[in-house]
Parts: sequence; C-alpha cells; structure tokens
Amino acid sequence: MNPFSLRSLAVAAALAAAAHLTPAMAQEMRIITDDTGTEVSVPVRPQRIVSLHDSKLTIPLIELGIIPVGSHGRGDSEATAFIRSSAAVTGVDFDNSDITWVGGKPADIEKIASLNPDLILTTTWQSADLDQLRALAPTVVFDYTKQTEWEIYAMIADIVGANDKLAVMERRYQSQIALIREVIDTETIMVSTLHAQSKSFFAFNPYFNIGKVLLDAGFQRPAAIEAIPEGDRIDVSAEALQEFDGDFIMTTYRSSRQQYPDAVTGYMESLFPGFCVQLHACREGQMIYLSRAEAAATSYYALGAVASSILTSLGGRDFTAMPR
Amino acid sequence: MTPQATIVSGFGGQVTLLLHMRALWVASLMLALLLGITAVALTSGTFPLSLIGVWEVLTGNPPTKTAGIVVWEFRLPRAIVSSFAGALFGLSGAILQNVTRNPLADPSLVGISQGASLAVVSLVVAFPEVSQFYRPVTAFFGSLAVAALIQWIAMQRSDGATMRFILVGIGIAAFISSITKAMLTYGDIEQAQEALGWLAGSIHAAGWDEVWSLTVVFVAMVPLLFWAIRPMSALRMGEDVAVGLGVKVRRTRIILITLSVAFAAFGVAAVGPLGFVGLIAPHLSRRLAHSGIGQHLLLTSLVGAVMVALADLAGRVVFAPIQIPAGIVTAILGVPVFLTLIVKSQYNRQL
Amino acid sequence: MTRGFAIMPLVLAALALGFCWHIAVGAKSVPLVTVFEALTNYDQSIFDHAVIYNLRLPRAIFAVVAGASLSVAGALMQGITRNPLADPGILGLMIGASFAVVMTFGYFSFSQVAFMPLVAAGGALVAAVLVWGIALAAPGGATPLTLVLSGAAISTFLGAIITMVHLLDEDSYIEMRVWLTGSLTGARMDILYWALPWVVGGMALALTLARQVTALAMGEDTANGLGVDVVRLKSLAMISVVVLTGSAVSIVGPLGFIGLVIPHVVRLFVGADYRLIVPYSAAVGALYLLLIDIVARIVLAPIEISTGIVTAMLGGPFFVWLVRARL
Repeated sequence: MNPFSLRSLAVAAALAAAAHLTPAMAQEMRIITDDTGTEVSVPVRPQRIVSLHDSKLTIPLIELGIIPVGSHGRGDSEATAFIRSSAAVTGVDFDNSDITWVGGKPADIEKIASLNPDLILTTTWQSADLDQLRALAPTVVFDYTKQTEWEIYAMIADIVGANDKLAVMERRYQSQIALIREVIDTETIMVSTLHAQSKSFFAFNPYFNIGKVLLDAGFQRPAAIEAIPEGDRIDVSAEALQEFDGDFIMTTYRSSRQQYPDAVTGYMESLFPGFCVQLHACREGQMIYLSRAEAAATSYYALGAVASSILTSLGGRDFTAMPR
Repeated sequence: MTPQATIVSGFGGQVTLLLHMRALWVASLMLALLLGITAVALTSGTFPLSLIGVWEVLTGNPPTKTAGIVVWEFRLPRAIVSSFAGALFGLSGAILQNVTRNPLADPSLVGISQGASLAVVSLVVAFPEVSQFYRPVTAFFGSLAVAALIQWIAMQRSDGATMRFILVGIGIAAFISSITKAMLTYGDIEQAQEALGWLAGSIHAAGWDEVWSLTVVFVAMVPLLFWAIRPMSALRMGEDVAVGLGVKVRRTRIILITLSVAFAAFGVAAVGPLGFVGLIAPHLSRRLAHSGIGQHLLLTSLVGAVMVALADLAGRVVFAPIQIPAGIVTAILGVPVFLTLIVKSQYNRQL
Repeated sequence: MTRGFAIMPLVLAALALGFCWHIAVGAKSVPLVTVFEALTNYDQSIFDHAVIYNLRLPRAIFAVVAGASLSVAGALMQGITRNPLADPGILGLMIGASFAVVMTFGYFSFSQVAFMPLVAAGGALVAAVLVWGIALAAPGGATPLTLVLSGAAISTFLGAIITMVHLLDEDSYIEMRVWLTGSLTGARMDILYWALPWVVGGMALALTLARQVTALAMGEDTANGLGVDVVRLKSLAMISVVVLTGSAVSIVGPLGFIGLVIPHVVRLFVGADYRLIVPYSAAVGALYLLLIDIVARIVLAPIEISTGIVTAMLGGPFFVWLVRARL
C-alpha cells in the first residue's frame, strides 16, 4: 500500500470531520464592507447562515441554492410561522425545510445563538441589537436606502460564492426582457402602476418587480410616477387619480391573505366611488392584477413570472390607447 | 393590613418598630425573590443550556464559547438592567404619588415618555446620520424638557398645583405625540420608525454599558433619596402638617417632582418607556407592609425591580422566538393588578 | 330659551359656508363654477364632477356627522359627570370603540360592516364602565383627576394589547393600523349608511334628556329636588354617549378632543342650558371638524396630515388651558 495516499486519506478525513463539526473555525476568511461602513471578516464559504429578513434576504439565499440554518419569519407560533412569499416563489418554507424560525422583529438572539451561525445577514429594518449579533458571528448589514434590492441580491451572491448561479438567472431574465421588447412596441405604450389599501392609494417608483420589468423593457410611465424619487413611495390623493392613468394599469392583491383581485377593486371603489369610470385603463378593461408574492419578493423567479405575465397580457393583443 | 394600622394608633412607638421589622422582612423576601428571578432568567431562553452549563459559565469554565456569550453578554446584563429600570420607575412613581397625593399618578401617563419619543424622532429626522449612541442622552433631555414645560405651566398659579401638574401633563402628552406623528409623516419614514421601535422597548439590547451607567445613576441618586425622605413623610400627612413642620411646601414639591421625573427619564433612556410600573409598585409595596417613607421607597424599588425583571423574562420566553417588549407585558398585566389593588383599598382612604 | 336660539341661524349659515369651503378645496384645484355645476348638474363622465360629487361631498358629510356626534357625546359626558374635562377620547371610550373594531374586523376578519357601529358602541360602553369603576373605587372618588387618569390607564392598556396582537401577527391587520390614526380619507359611504340611524337616534335621545341634564349639571341634590330620576338619566345619557361615539369612530376612526373643545366653546355663548348646548354643540362641532379637515389638507399640501393629528394638536393645548382656567 502506498503510504503517501494513506496519509492524504487520513488528512482528508480529518479535514472533513473538522469542517463538519466546527464550521465556524478554521475557515478561510475575507474582508467586505457592509452598508454601515463596517469592515466585516466573512467566511469565504459560509456554511451556517442566519438571515434576518424573510422576503428580502432569505428568498435570494434559497434561490442561490443556499438553505440558511435560520431565518426571520412572520407568524405567532412554530406552527403558523412562514417565510413571506417564499412558498409561492421558491417552494421552500419552514415546514418543508431545515430552516429554523428565529422570530420576527426583534429576532430572538438566543435562537440565533443556538444555531451556531458562521455568518449573519441582516438589514437596518431588523431591530435585533447589532453588538449582540456581532458577538455571535460576522454580521453583514444591508441598508435598502443605500442600495436597491437587486444590488443587495448581487452582493449576497458574491458573499456566498454563487456569482455563476446569479449570472445564469440574470441571463434568463435579460432574454425575457429582450423578448418583450421584440413582441411589444413598448415605447409607445404607457403602463401605470397603482397600489390600493384600505385607507389610501400609493404609488411606488419603481413598483417592486413590476416596476423593474416595465422600466427594463422600456415602457412609458406616467409623469407622476417619474416624479417620485427613486426607491420611494408616495400617498396618492384620490383627487389626483387621473395622473396615474395609462393605457394599462397594473396593480396587485395579497393572495396570502385570501384577497383576490376583487379586494383591490373594493379598496379602489371605497377610496373613489365610481373610480372605474374615471380611469381610461379601467373603463377599457385594461387593468392587470398580479399576485403580490410574485410582484414584491426579491426573486429572479418572481421577476420572471412578472415578465411573462406582462408578455402574455400585453403581447399581440388589441387595446384602446389612452387619448394623450 | 387594617388591624395593624389600628394598633399603630393605639400603642405608638413600640408597634411602629414591629411594623418596620415587617417591612424589612418583606424587603428581604423581595430581594430573595429578585435573586430567584435572576437565577431563572439565567437558565431560561431558547439557547439550550442546562443548569450545570450555566454554573460552569458563571464559574469561568464555559462549555462552549457561545454558551459563555449567551449567559454573560445576553442574559445577565439584561436581568440586571431590567431590575435597575424597574427600581427607577418604581421610585419615580412613589415620589410622584406622594407629592401629588394621587394614587393614580404614573410617570408614563404624564408626558415624560412622550417627550423622550419626540426628542429621539426629531433627532433622527433632523440629523439622520447621527450615531445611535446619542439616543439615550436625547431621550433623557427630551423627558426633562417636557417635564420642565409641564412644571412651568402648572406652577403659574399656586393653589392645587400638583393636580394641575398631572392634568397638564396629560394634555401636553397628547399634544407632543401629535407633533411626533406629524414629523413621522414628514420625515424619512424608515429611519423614524426604526427610532420609534428603539423606544418601544429596548431591554433586549441591554449590555454591560447600560449596567454600568445605571449603576452610576443609582449611586448618584441615593443621597437625594435620603434627603427626600423627610419632606415626603411630612407631605404624606398633608400640606398643613408639612407647613407646620417647617417644610417649604412649594419649593419642596418642585424638587420632588423633578426628582421623580429624573428617575423616570433615566429609566426611559435606558430601556424605553415602561408603563404602569410606577403606578403599581408603590401600591403593591404599601399593601405588603406599612412603613415609613424610607422603607416604603426601598420596598417600592425592589417590587419595581421584581415586576420588570419578571415582565422581561416573560416577554422573551413565553412566545419565543417572538419577543414581546417588557413595556407591553407590564401594561397588559399591570391594569388587572391595578384594578384589584384599587378595589381592595376602597376603604383604605389613606394614600 | 327662544332667545337662546337667536344666533342659531348665524351658526347654521357659518356651517353652510364651511361646508361649501370644504368642498371647494382639495389636492386638485377645481374652479368654483365647476364645483357648483357638479352639485347642480352632475355629469359622471367629467372627472372634476366626480371629484366633487364622489369624493368631497361624502367627505364633508362624514366630517359633519362625526363632528356633531362627538361634540354632543362630549357635552352629555360633561353634564352628567359634572367634569369639565370629560371627552370620549380622554375618558377612554374612543380607544374602547377602536379596540372592539380592530379586534372584530381586523383580527377576526369579520366583515359585516352593518354591525360596525354596534360593535364600536359596545367597546365604548365597556371602556366607559371600566374607567368609571376605577375612578369610583379610587380614594377620593370620581374626581376629574381620577377619571382622566383611569381613562389614560385604560387607553394605555388597550393600546398595549393592540400592539401585542400586532407583534404576534404582523400581517393580519396592517390596514387597521392606518385607520387607528383617525382620518377622513377613505371613510366609507356604506358604513355611514349603517351608522346614520344610530346617530339620529343618539341625537334625539340627547335632546330629550337635555332638560334633565341641565338640572343634574347643577348638582345631584338639585336634580333630585326637581324630581329627576338620576340613575335612569345617567344610564340613558350613557347609552346616547356610547352610541354617538361608536358611530363616529366606525366612520372616521378615533378623533380626539372634539368632544372636549366644542361644548366649552358653546357654553361661552349660550350658557348652561343643555337644551341649547346640545343642538349648538352639534352644529358647531360639525363646523369645527370641517375646518380642521380643511387645515389638514391645505397646510402641508400636497401632503395630507391625518385629521386625528390636527385635532390633537389643537385639542391638547386647549385641554391644558382648560385645566389652568377651570380647575
């Protein structure tokens, strides 16, 4: 027997055992700067990630092929907790994965400690104490007022070493956008986006995934939406409703709360009785309703679903243009 | 309680001594209870750690590095800070109830926590880049400034000034929180809401820094408390008696109210506004033992400490991993306790 | 008595003017001629007409109904408790009503809005009884101070429960939280229809009780001497108060201090007779809320401040002034 190969076998076994038992130790580290301006020494191949925002951090991780050991989620008990939008866009949730629920806002610091993480990802939205998190593991803080969710997505991919996976998904998305541009004469069509809740209309710039696809595909937007600072949202007075009209209007409903398109029209009707008569898009039957899980989750799957909804509902159909 | 109170009037000094013994006995019981709760707090939580494990950590031999962090950096400072904060709110309430001669007075109802909120939200809206480090300081001075404003308005006329202090406080509280809400509509919503979240209850973030600063606060405030005992005893017997005993009533009131506000402001700055502790702790300790003001204050601080330590423990364990801020727990459990106290003391008209 | 109504036409004229002014201002500038046309010759295909007819007209009606209800409720409360600081908001009735509405319609997703005024009135009643009970049990009895403090305590308590339910289930009633700030934006016409009969009933009850309330306001002995059944009167007045408060809350959410401010202002002009105070409070309260809502919409335009924020901003200092002047 070759003694050399025997020794290398033993070393390999020992390394594997070490990696299995104490993933937080003996790892290769590198330095990155997070959105608080802190230099964080993160493992090059993190194994035990805890994510402290469900739809903005956990979903990207799952999509990049990394199942975190723990995640923030909503709910009032282990039985009801869920990762917002995740079942609909990734198919992975607490009940069918090994992801441990670590609470809401603030997350339970001891639950995080019990997972023995080697990397914690969090946002400025989460109120768990940063000093406590940093005492447990390297902690990267993202700030949504400083970067868009897609820039943060790319940063996550870089941190977990999944840049190639991201490139594949980005390629698929770009080809969907290219197809929309081929099929639809996007620059001649004005598509507005409008959000309605029980007490108010809102407008976002951009309207999550819908806004991104519309922008990337080159559709026109109402001037009132262009005027909103990027990344912001405004309350829309019902009296200003007509400024948010377009050839088409896209809006969303919360399927997770057993609300369907009629709930949105219900809100709109109570905010502006007879609104449908006043909006060109509604009068002509050119309102498009999407489920909020796909419209809002930071996910390439969701982005793709929105892109194909737009391609299907606007491509090759006749419509009545709004008089300009 | 009532029979013993009768004995006091019958036999004078000797029995008073007995009652003081009782107060001391209850105080040591409370101290033991507080230590017991701290022990439970050290061993409870979602991080799995046995009693032996906790003991090993405390004796400097942690089973794992994380176990050491959980016990030393999370559980212990948190238990200490919540006890300190409870004592602060309890003392604040005891002084306020004494000086206003109203058993329903509570620092959290009269504008003090609203002042802290406004100050912190203004700071965040006006200077978004300022470090979180300045928030407790801002909250402290916000509370103090609002209390001064209330004091100033309420003291414009000399009679019935303390009742007006409370009522003016409630009016100012409503006014100030409406300004805070208006600022939230105007400012950067995300950041302002984050600041509000910080205020809603932040014992969960307590560390050794808070422990040390609260220790300093206590060491500095205790002499003032000793000073306060005499005028508070005099005021308890009524204004006329106090005047007869040579107490300058008006000035003393201002000083005592300021003291009460300072206690509450330190508490708010450390852990955010905690309602009802200042309301209930003095009542509870009065029911546990009749005593002089000195022992009453001691007992109230211990009862307050027990209440908040317990509330914080319950808030982090009962619905875990959901974390309920201690302030919510004290408000929800506080009212039923308070109702019982008030109804049972119906025939006990003494303050 | 009849002389007391001499200035009523003046108040009603002011109310009519306020109503028109309210309709004439808004986020979108609409020429007065168009406003007039929309009201006289409504054409639903014209957007400006729809704005006037479907948005501003209902909103002005909500303001009138809620302002009148809350002011009358406040006047009755001040009369029967002989407490100048009584108000549905300050004494906890409003948070009781809001709590009941939030729990039934937000948390348990109950959707029969027809019952909303009743649910709100029930919540207001429970809160009123609690606050009253605490204040009576407290040493010194139901003085203005103990009443206000127990109102504040109950408000904090119910507020804490609402916060906890929200923490446990972030998703379920995020929309109710907006409603809780008290706002005329997005108030619903269908709820108004359901609330209106209750408002009318509550007002009628208040008017029939007005003479006896005047006697009671002079002291229980005086009332007894005049043959007033005090317990019966207080119970009936309480019913009127909770029904009016519940209806107002179900339409516009909790709007504090209106019931405090208006009756005091009215008393300055018409004296202590509740047969005058009640109708004047209704008219002046309606006018007040119309004006407040105009302010809320134009001060920071195009941003609209929640109406509840403005009522508290004006009502808080008024409360302080009242404490200094009257106590």
